[in-house]
Amino acid sequence: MKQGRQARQRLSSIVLALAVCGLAAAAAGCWDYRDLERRSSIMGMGVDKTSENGEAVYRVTVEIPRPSGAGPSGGMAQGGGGDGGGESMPPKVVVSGEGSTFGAALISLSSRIERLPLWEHLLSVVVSESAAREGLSSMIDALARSTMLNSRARLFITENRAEDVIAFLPLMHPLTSQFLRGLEEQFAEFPRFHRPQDVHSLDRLLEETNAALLPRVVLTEGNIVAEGAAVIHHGRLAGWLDPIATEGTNWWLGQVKSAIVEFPCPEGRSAEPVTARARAARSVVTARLQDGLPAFKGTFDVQGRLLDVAHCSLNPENPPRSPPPGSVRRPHLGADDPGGGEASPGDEHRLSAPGLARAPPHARRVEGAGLGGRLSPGGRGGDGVLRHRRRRGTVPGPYVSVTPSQICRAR
Amino acid sequence: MTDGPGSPRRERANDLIPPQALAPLTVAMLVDLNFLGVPKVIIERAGRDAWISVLLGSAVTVLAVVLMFRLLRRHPGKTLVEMSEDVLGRFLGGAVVLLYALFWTAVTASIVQMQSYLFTRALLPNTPPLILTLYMLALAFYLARHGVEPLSRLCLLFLGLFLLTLVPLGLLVTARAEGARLLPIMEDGWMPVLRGAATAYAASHGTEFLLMMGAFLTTLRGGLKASCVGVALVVVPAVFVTALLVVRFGPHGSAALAWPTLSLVEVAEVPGFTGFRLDPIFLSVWTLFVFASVSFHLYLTGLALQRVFRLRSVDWTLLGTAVVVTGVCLVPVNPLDLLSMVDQTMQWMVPVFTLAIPIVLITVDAIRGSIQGQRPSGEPDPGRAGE
Repeated sequence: MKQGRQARQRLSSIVLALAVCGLAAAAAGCWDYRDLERRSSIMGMGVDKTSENGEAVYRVTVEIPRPSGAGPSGGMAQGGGGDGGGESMPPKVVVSGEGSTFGAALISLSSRIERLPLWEHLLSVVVSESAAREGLSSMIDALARSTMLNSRARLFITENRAEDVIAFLPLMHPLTSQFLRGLEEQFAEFPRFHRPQDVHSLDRLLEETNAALLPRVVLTEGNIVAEGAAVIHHGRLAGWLDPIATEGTNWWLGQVKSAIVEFPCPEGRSAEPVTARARAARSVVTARLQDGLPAFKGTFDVQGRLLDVAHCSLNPENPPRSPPPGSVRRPHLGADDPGGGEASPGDEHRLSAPGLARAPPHARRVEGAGLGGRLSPGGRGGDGVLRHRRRRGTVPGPYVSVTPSQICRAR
Repeated sequence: MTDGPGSPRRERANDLIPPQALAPLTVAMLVDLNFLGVPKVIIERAGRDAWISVLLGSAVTVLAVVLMFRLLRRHPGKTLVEMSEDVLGRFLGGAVVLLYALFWTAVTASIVQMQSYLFTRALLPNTPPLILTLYMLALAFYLARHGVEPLSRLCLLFLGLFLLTLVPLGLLVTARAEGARLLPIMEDGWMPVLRGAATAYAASHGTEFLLMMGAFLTTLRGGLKASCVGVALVVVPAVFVTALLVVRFGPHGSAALAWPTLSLVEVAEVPGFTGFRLDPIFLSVWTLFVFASVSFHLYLTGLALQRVFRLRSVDWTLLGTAVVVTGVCLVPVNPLDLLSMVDQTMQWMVPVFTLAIPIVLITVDAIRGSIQGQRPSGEPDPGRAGE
């Protein structure tokens, strides 16, 4: 009896040990195990669309960091990009693939890269103008749906070939994708291009307003430059905004964190404007119906650090009580500023200047539809009145091309 | 376990838990995969007001918890098995218990299958789901056979992890959120909100475990409060996550995503760590909550079957349940079909198992007591007070 129990216990112990060992071996990821040296991280992607024999062809170009210690080819196939494999080894490998659809072009890369493509680290996607004008929906759908691709990758639109942008070696950085991603941080200080967006944000905007902006990048003067914005309407590239208009749009959208603003000297008759680095504190855009048309009013509160008052007799310690005739609006400076002593450029003062964003009388009425709006004479008050042609019942957002510096220059 | 058929059984030392342990157990039972799949359905029905639906649905859940405690108080020291047999008779009561066992088995199978799918979808695409299923069930079996006390300790351990996972996630995704997507509130009236609330309540399956806990609590005092705290610990993050989904993806966008919470984690970015992805970590951590839920469901099923069939050990019923669950998981199912089926069936199953049956038991017990002019069937027999 006792021996039988011992034998049963021994048998159950053996079965348990075997089961644990078997499951541990099976569930330890053997199926999915792949050495790091057999993977290639894809950091950037460029999408071009061309036409061959009357048929549209997607051309996808990817950017892969060159593995250290790899041979001239890095163990990878060479594509049509800028990797010549010369004496000085480029820091990245550029590979291209083609297909009749975006998905087919992506998969075609597998026959050109020996290593397993690792898409999870994708940082930036550059889309050429030709592809964007045909529509971004294929790319948005693939990026949002696929668990393979990184949906947090930022989208950029270029007037050049996307392949050229991806293959380009930017200044002070080996990878275009990381360079572009770094530009996103610069947006906080320099809003003259649109803030890069991930695919989910873009998708939501297109769904809710049928309109969105993406940053525009160009290859110029031996560098990649981000300036202006691409206007996406109904999922297609509709046009471009120049850097000044983009900055104004960013103010209206409440996306500006910091920007250089200029306003006329409130004292004296100096032709030189006062320059300040403004930090946006609050922006409020309200909408109402006016004469059957939607009218928008924007109020922007900023706090500024004076940069240049060299040609202005303004004393920040004792600002004028009333605006001189013809000024934008009284910039209310330093009323509750606790600072003392001599003021100098660089001293921080509270600048409560909603007037900075007010359109001058000749530039208040905005005609056109949404993002395609343009400034034209007429109008009243401080409101930008949007003459809107209602289409499919969707009211475009308050995308009015007005920027504080533009307004000040206009005066 | 000393099993005296037909009478309240005294449990072994590691099967007794303080009433406060009901809070982490409630969290474990409510969480499982609800945070990943259910918000989509609630937002689909309630739109931007989905967070209100979650609050309303949780109010019904709390009502169900109160009812279950009312029943437990009428039958102190007993589980559902003894209570239903006392009130409805052995055969009818046994049938009710078998229904619960069947329900828990089905829930376990659906959770395990969905979890295996999610793991292979995002982390281990080439690993056969069956391997992950076997691994989880083997570990769950090992844990469950050691009783409710280790289970509750594990759930307590995971409780902190649960909160630590969701709070930073919320902070990380607010960067690109648009708060105005929550406005206007109740634009379409009450009906969508109520439909969403019904879905939120249907997702609260698991609270019925309280009916099995009477025999394992050192005292009932404080149990109701602990269970309500457990519900609140799930509801507050659930409201938070639902609102986050709306402000980040919008109501239509959230409804269009198969696993919106996973997508929310995918878009979360850690400042200074460009390209660093959180979803593998999140999914791995969530596996622990799912494991706790699966283990406890397995334990409940094994315990119910052991008690209803008067078996000496819970091991064989646990093993049998695990085998059945494995067999069910072998059936190939489209995960979205499974999600849809679970949603539809839970709409009526959860009210039955958390509200209707407890109400029937309370009512029948009260009627029998008033007709016979004697104590309710669950009250201690003065003649057996010394036992």
